[in-house]
Amino acid sequence: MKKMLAMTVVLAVCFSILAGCGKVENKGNETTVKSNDQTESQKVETTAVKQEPLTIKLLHFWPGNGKDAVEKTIVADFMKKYDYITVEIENPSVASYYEVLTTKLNTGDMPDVFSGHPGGTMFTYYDGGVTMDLSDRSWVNDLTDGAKRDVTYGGKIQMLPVNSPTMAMAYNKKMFSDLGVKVPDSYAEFIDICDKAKAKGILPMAMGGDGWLYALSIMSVPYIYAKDIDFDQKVNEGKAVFNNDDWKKIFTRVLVEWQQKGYIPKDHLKMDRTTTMLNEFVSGKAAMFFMGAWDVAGIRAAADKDFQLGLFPFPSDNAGGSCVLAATGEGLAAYAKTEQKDAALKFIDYFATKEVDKLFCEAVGSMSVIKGVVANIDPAFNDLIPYIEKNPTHGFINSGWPAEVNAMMGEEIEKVIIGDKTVDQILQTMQDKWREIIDSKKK
Amino acid sequence: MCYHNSITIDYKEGSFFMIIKNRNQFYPYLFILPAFVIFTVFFVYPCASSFYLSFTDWDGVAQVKNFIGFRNFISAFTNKDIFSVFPNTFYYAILNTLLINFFSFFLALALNRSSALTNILRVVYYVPIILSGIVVGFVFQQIFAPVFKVETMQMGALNGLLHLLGLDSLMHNWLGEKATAMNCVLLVSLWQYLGFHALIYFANMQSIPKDLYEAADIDGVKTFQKLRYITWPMLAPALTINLTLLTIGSLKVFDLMYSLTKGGPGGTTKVIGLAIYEQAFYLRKVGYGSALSVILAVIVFIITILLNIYLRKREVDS
Repeated sequence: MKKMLAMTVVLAVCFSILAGCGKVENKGNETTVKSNDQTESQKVETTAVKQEPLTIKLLHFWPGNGKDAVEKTIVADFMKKYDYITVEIENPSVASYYEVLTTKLNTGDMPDVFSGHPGGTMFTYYDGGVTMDLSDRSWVNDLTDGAKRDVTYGGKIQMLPVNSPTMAMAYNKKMFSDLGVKVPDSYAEFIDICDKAKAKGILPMAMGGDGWLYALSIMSVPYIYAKDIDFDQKVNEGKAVFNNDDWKKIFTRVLVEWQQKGYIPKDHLKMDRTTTMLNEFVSGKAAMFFMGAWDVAGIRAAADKDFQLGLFPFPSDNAGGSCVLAATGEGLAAYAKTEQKDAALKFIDYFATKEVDKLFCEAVGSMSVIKGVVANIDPAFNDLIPYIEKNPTHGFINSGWPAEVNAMMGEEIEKVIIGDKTVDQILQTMQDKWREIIDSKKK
Repeated sequence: MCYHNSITIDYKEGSFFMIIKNRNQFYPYLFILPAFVIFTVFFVYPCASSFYLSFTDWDGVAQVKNFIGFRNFISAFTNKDIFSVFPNTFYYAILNTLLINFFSFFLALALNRSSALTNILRVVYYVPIILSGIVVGFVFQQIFAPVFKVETMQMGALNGLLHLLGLDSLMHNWLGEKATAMNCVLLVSLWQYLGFHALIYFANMQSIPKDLYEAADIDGVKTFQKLRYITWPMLAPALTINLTLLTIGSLKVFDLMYSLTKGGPGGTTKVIGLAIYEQAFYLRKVGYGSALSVILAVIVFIITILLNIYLRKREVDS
């Protein structure tokens, strides 16, 4: 009897170990078989007529207010509108998001709708046929030209862009007033502000951690992309080079000159941007702070109520050339092989409605990329509107770069800061890598 | 009983089915089955899968895995970026192995006394090993943080201590300078693994016959000579285990480097484990990353075999 019991326990353990594996595998097989057996139009028709209860899975990375808006309002309202659709939500952290997404893809547990960052990060998924072609959706015509460009790949609309965060220079309005300076209209005026702040014992720019990336991103718009919006494409085609004088100018300013002149903290790479540096800024010990739209909530939370936050885009060398970095920040994609195509598209279409997009943008503090939607976000963003209306905008510095070039930038930047390489050398290295990737793709 | 009766087929002598006919012989196989299944699912299968992927161009997303022969391996040996991480890897592995062995031996000696305090200390020194490398990395990042403002004491704990001791000239950006970053990681590794390896030495020390020391005492042997001619030779098995474990662990190091430096500054602490992660997960070159893993496994295997041949010979000599 004891032996039988022991044997049963052992077998139970074995089966329990294998059970998890079997479940995932079966699910994967099921997905494949069904999508082959039933045409898409048949599925849509079936759902429309019968409206049998069904479930779609949503995987998203939004934390905080964005998470609340998506889960408590948007999904809840969607399920009220389409009462036969249940939305199951998973919300991994953004840091591990793509590992989770890739794991789900490879274990047959892919969500029907998932969030992503339009740009280089998603290229692998586009190439792998993971995302559904959304070109025929009615909302495509409502997108701004920049947003449409950012989510187009291989001639198809791959995602619904849901917001447009900006990066800008935050400044302390009262401090600027006390220093007797105004928002800079040229780089010379910007340097003048830095010198005046430094003379008063104030840190000109609170830059720490990956703040160099913010600085380079903000500066790349007036110095590179406003001059040639297709610069990245031209490098891909061999018609432009990355190691040109303009790139050298902005890299040298951020990595060498500002450090030498004491405009940014020593050892800034190891300073935390969102705690140490942000606190220096809001406590009136630093004049300016490189920030993204996602930082505004943190600034407001840490600052006193009477703190006067202002924003300005980075100026160019010539007056009147300030350009805003306004990227297509995040988007929603539908899984190309979803069994619930109709419901997945319904959810994306619902998210694309002006009311829902406005609600979402207001929750995450971003501007909208849908024409006619004006989100009521932090009043500091109003400072940027005149520039957006006047001059061209562009997205993140590396949104069109090959992933390998993007990946090597941080390490190369550190080499300049520790004195192992010059700016010329790292730009040449990045240009060589870019060329190597383009050449390897041609082969 | 039913199960026993159900096996009625007359199989050949010595076949598997003949073995399971005898319940007493069958049970041992049944009891190792869970371990075998776990080992197969979580070790054999991933290893075999990684080996297979190393011959493909898979990016982790594409549905098709194209077989590309040895192209990933050729690329690994011709890519100077990848090749440049090997000096860092070996520097860390050699120093980490030697330092931890050296200090853990003396720590074990210190703990090899019976008192209430040493009993507590044995546990205290062992505690760091149970902490995750990521957690340890986070804590030590705060300790090694650079100086932002001296007047407001906005600096890491180590720099703060040096400042309070009036040693401002010794304050550094510990993880941000190429001269100190790798050594800081070595220090953290020493802190974390010292107790574990000391425990292995300590266990071996407990098994050394007391009469050897008594005989030495009668012969008037001094303390250092007892250490040199009795303790050290008798610890040969523990040395073999410690050197082997440390060599393997140091060559594969990932978590401490990732959490403390992420390979910086400027790649000066970038080891093969980080390069594999970067290629496979960040750049989505899963095939290439797998090829690097296979190369690392072969390197670790060869070094471990050679080390063990030498150490086993030394054990016999001892």
